[in-house]
Amino acid sequence: MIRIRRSSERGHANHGWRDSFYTFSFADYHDAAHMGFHSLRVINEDTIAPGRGFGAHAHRDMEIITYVLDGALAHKDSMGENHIIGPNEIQAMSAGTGIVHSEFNGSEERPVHLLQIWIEPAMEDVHPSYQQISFDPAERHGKFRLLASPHPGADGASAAIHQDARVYAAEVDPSHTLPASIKTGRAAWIQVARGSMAVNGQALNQGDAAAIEGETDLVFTGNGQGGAEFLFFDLP
Amino acid sequence: MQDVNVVVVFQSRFGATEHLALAAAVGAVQGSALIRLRWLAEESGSDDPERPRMMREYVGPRETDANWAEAIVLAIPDRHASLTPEFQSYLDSLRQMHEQGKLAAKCAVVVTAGAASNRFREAVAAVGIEVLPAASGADSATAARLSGRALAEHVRATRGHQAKSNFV
Repeated sequence: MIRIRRSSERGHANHGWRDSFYTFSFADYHDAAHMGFHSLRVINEDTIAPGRGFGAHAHRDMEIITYVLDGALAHKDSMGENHIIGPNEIQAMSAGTGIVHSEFNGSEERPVHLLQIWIEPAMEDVHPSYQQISFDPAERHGKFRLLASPHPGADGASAAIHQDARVYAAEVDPSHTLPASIKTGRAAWIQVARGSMAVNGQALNQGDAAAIEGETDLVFTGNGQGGAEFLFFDLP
Repeated sequence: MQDVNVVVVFQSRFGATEHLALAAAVGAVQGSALIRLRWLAEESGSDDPERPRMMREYVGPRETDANWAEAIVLAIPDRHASLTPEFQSYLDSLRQMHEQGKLAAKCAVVVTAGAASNRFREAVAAVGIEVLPAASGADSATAARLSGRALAEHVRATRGHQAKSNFV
């Protein structure tokens, strides 16, 4: 079964300095029907004005992945990590026993546009950690580029998270197809970051998402107008 | 489940006491607290290189923060022999709140990098609220973290809160 979550149905908060769309309940947006999907708890699409951002705040027991679409995001945390991430990079943070961090637009001129993802960990009270992964955009072009998984290997090409989930980025060209499979008993979430596409014939536009359960074979097709960039979550 | 609320008020010009404040905040989070971080700007630090960033990332402490909090972490730089005018003014505002009965049953801890903690602790105790002893640790950041945690756990133990939180 494939259920579509339209972009326009998401929660929305425009604070002037921050324009946010909430796929699942978050902050002042609460919808009991959209509290998350399996271990996926948050997908927020934020556009943050130049020089603005989130002051120091705390997290605990959460895997937090940030995927920047445009611009630069400056991160500073209680572990001493102080970084700027941009497109073709992800930041993955295991909050574990507790972290305090701030996130600000790293530019004084351009807005930053990003997706922030929270995945509930399989275990609590892990030691907090920070990872930043860069990749060549060609690695997601016409294929699935693994961003995070529980056992990413020693090459540092993807981030380790404390959940049996896999997060991929992919781009599909106009009128091209990209097949994928899901193991029986697992679920998938598709989040369109840019462009338009279809999953098993169901059209998705930027900001749309698809919740997939009980399916094993998927075909993604890029829309003829320009294809799409999307995130694929393989979830327990 | 009722959370413990902890406000961390700090003064930092070059980032060292900010580091302690963050460590204390992490400790409070480890003690299952909700936290707020508040920065007291120093008038004399108007040219500090870290000032623009801190002005962007933090707001100053307000009365609503002290009302909200059940416990206060005060992270005080030890560059000075005594409290800065800004910190003294903040403690004066807390004293007024205490005299108005607004800080009843609240407690505090002082974290600092140097040997001045006892002196600062006495100054905070003069506000009238309970001041817990700071924890010791291998370094000042560890001590700050343990102090933040102990403060949150003390509040929970004395208020009868249950351990473990559901915040993220």
